[in-house]
Amino acid sequence: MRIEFKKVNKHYGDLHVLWDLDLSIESGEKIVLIGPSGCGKSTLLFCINALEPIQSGDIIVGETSTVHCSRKTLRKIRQKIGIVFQQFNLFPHYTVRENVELALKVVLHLDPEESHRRSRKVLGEVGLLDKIDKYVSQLSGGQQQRVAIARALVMEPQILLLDEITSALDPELTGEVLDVVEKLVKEREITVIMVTHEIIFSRKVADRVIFMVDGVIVEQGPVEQVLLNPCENRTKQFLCKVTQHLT
Amino acid sequence: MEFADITRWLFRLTPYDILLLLKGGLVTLALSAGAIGLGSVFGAVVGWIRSLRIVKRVRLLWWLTSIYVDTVRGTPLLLQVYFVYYAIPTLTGIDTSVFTAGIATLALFQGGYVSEAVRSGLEAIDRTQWWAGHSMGMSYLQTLRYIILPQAIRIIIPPFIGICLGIIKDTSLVSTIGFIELSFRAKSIGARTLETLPPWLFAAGVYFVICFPISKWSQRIEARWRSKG
Repeated sequence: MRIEFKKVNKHYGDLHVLWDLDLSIESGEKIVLIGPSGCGKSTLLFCINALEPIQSGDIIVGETSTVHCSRKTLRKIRQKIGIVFQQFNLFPHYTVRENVELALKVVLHLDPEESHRRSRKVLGEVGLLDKIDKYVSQLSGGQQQRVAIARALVMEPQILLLDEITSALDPELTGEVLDVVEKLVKEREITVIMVTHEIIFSRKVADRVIFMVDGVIVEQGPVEQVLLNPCENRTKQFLCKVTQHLT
Repeated sequence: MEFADITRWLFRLTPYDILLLLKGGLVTLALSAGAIGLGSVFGAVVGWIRSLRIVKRVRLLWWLTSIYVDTVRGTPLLLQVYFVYYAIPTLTGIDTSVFTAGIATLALFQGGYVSEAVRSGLEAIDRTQWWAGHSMGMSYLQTLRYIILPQAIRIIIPPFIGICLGIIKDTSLVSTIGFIELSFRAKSIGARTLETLPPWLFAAGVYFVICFPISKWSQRIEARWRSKG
């Protein structure tokens, strides 16, 4: 599924977060979104499935505008867009299985057997079959985030949005989550947009890197160009800062 | 006085008086159930309305519900009982019986407190839980039903039980307008026999027997929820 931003403006009160943003993302493309904190990366992500309303412009997902559509149509579109949040946002009152199967039951009305088959499959893929009947609070941060990934993938989305999915994790747990993401993203023909600070990881999965500052896209292009030979000064400065600790 | 004498004195209630008190206890139980039932449903609706973001933004409904909630919580229940029973018929011409005035006042009182417990419980659930539901294609009601309410209920139940225990004991205040329930019976038996303490102690025992199991039950389910993580 392709995504298109047309002259999108987004405000939080007086704060102007996205400025006349134009962007088109092709079906199956893997996009990495980088930029300093507060530059509007996560907001851009949340605007795609209309979790955040925009003030002007239009966002087209597939063939449909998520800005000017009915609630029913929006719910249909959202079923095709999986999202994984920085803080996991799992449901603490449910077990791992119930977390993963909830939308299958409530939204897709699948029978329990089919739901169960699908949830076992994705939980296997993220390596958590043995935790299927545990409550979320009994898992480590990395395991919780892998459940969140399974919860997004079990709906078989055509678009996957990943919002700084390792920012809330210890460095040693970051690796286990990124390994799972790399494998799952590579073997699926879906559009992926990920906001991340993991520059090395970006190089492994991205088709295109987009660098944003203050709600504006400063530079975008293939990995080699943006991450290795950036044209813009602001991109160079940013990359210097985030990679400083690696050298 | 020996211990045996004291107990004999305390139980110097005739079987007939005991029967009257037990009947009063049943009335108190029914009155409490009615007030808690009606008041909780009404309060839950008010609390839910007050938790909506649109209501906070538009303000009108917020102010209207605030007048109700703050009046109920800011004035003594005894005065509210007097107001509904004595003032409303004078002001509006609608005659209220002891029964309707009593149960309506208690239900409104219960509703005011429950609404705040429900509102704060719903608001305690992080906005990102709504996001998680919506992002999977769930509607407002589905998200409320499957994600928000099951979590909010665990926050709402402890204060809710406290409010219920309070209203059960506060039903005694409607005896002042002549509602014949447990406290009314105790007072009249005391006046008739000139032995005030025995009927009142018996009545206190009946209140305790009603309240104690509820309190214990709430502690049990809280413990069960805690162990579930």
